[in-house]
Amino acid sequence: MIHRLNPGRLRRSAVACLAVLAVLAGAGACTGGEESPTRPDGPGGPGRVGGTLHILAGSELRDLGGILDDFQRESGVEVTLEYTGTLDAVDRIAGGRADADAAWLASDRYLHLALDDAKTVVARATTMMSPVVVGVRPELARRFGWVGNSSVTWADVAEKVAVGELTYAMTNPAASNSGFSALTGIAAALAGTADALTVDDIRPDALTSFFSGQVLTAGSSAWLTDAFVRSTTPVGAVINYESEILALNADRLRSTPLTIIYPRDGIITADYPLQLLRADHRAAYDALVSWLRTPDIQRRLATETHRRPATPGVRIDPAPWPTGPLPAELPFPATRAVADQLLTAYLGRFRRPAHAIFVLDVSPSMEGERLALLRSTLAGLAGADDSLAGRFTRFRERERVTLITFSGVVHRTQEFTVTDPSPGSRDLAAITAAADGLTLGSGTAIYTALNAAYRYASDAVGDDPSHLTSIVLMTDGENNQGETADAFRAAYRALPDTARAVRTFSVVFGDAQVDEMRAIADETGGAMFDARSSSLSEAFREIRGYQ
Amino acid sequence: MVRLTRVLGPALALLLIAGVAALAVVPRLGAGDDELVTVRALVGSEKRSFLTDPDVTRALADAGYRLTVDIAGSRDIATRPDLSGYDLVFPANTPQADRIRRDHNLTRSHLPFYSPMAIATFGPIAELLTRAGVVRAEGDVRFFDMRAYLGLVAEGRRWSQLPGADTAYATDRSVLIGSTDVRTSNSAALYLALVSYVANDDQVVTDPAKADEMAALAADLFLRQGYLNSTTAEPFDEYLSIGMSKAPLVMIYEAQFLERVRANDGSITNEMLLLYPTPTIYARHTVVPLTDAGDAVGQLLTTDPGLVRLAVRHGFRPSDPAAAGQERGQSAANTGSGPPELIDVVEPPSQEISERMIGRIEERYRGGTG
Repeated sequence: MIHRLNPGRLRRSAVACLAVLAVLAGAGACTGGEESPTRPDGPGGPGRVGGTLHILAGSELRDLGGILDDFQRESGVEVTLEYTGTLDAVDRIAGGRADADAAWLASDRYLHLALDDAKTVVARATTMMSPVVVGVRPELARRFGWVGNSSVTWADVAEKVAVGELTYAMTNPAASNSGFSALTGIAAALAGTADALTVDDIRPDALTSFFSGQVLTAGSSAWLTDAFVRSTTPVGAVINYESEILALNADRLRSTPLTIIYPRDGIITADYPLQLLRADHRAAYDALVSWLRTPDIQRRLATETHRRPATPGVRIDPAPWPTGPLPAELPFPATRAVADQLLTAYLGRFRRPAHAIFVLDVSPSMEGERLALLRSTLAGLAGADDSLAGRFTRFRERERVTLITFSGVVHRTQEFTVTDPSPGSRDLAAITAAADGLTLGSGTAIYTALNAAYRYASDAVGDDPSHLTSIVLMTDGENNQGETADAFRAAYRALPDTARAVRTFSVVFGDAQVDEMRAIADETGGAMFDARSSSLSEAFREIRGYQ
Repeated sequence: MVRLTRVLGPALALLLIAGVAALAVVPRLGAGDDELVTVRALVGSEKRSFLTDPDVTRALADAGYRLTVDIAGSRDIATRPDLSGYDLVFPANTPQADRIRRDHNLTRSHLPFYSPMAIATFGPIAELLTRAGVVRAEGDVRFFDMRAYLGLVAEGRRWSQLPGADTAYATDRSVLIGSTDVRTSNSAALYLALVSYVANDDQVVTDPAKADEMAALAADLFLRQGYLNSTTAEPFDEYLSIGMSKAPLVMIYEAQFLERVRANDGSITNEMLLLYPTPTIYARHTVVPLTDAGDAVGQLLTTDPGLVRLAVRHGFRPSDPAAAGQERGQSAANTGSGPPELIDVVEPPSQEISERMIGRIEERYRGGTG
């Protein structure tokens, strides 16, 4: 079970399972056979079906907790959700290592392109919908003449970016479906064809210009929303699910709601398909699908999550979204080759390059297996990890990588720039060699190291503002030397805005203090990742989505 | 069930109140259940909602059978080497049934019902296409001229270029019928059959060289749509729930649309329309029995008046002419008239030719740049 802490705003345990129901199910009340014929849109409740359903789920689905609890109560099916990134899920399902009965992602299009043989998925049903749209700060929308204007296109958005009037937040397409949808949609729209994208249609210059406005990235749509609202340097717009923006407008931005732009040249809608992977869990799967698709639950989903109904004929009145017709849906690429090429080009060429500053604990407690894991994790990012997720989280062309090692004092600061991102290249080999050369010191001076990292970052963003700079702090112990947390906070708050905008993503490893690491992430607008419940390499790969 | 309810008590009380319908879907719980002959069926996805309809389950149980249904694409059913464990297979068309009978040395088959291919669309789209000379109305029925459509596609026409599009559907997407993935889905294979017939000067493709030529021509109709769903239920679902923005024209079985109209569940709005391609093609759903029990169920589905009536409720047209008369009474579309008699209907190519064309298109996908 991968239990990952939701960066930024942790709400609930990864396991949405009710012990009470496990008991009821155990009483043998619900042994519905596979053949129990449930109808996809059948009326009424799920009946006592029983059984279990372990679901590999996208992090977007964390907001379903209460709704799923009710399903468990009514059906006796014990549902557990294991949250994972899209590419990790694809890796596992395609590799036959899903270890789950079902998968529930915001979209399964990339998964199906990756699965040559679709028989891995036994059944599939969409459960709710949300288009990826643009939420614009109201004062900007007014200035641009975009309020109540249904003719705004992606090209119009691109133009405001090109002249420097608009910046935006968007998730990393290699880590999150909303970013991936946006990337494929924007690439199709800017190609001017609005048909399925081919390799020849990709317009690198237009896309590079468009993504120069992306000042905030993230590995999850929910975190992006949070960071967008809390950002110290104002961000003009957010490209995200309509549901995320509607939730903001109903709550934290109620007094200054974002203007939602549905670009006239097209949108891409997430349809949250629930996919059955193991035929022997069909009864539980059918029960969950038919329950989710009942009009009452669809209405509840609309109210609680702001997602649109997937069941035909269910109308929400009053609807939280505009009721007029949506612009045309942009096609998703027909082949994996196009999708992969687009992702690779985004990471290596279109996006603003990253500057990743790793602050790494080499105190004595790291000796042995922990140090070996750290070395192999860094080597994985430098090209050794050939999994799908590994391929899209590697160090990229144009990226700057800084390794700052510390124990009781700061040891070394090593800088690398990747010009050749192919595995085994001299640039990547140098990073791997540096990882292999990590040596241990004594003591743990977290805040001294972090202060040094921020002084370094301050100079770096001053010298080269074009990179998106972030810090990854990995420690396996608690601060016992050097500066205090208060001293760090004071120094951090005295930094210029551009340096304070550098977020720290903290990795809890070994015996690290969760409270300490969370406080650092919260102070700097970053997020905390727990490598004890996943693995060090998984935590680092997930953080790559935020860099 | 009742005994267990007492044991579990109040925890289930709510469920029982809400669960009457849920109980109904598992008829004959208890002793009677053991007396039923279980018949295992491998069927195309388009018949799932019919075969798992509680009323169908009940009607079959009255005759002594309990049907368990596995779903697979009709193309997959036709080419699966091992059908052991099944009592019947139920692909969506006769060429596939013929292939199965040949490969497995079987002789029997039943044709309980069929459904023509149709195109689901919306009023504003139908109007645009009427102006463009692709759609024409005859009384209540609207026909979709495949040849005129292929002409628009060959010109690379976009919706925004059609007269009147600025107010109705101003997207730069190409005019294309939405379909499923031809590599997995029978409805897409029938769309391919229609296209190949029209492009082959109104003749069914019979020779391999011609098949290659037609596949080359038709491949873009699929590739240019981008990512495609693999079963026929999905694009129609998107048509119903997302609407015109996603699916202005969707190639479906007529039965899918009629099933919704007859269910009167609010999913078909006033704007939704059915177009009949000219020519069109039938999906002749064919039961191939593998055992005597499978044969008996195939026979029941074809001749039992109650089951025929239920098939009609799910939008199918019964093959039995006598039963067809009663179907006329059922409303077909918003107009309240029955489904039209179709005259311009073509035959699908043989399964071998169909497979060859699909194989060629598959190669284009593997080429990767599409």
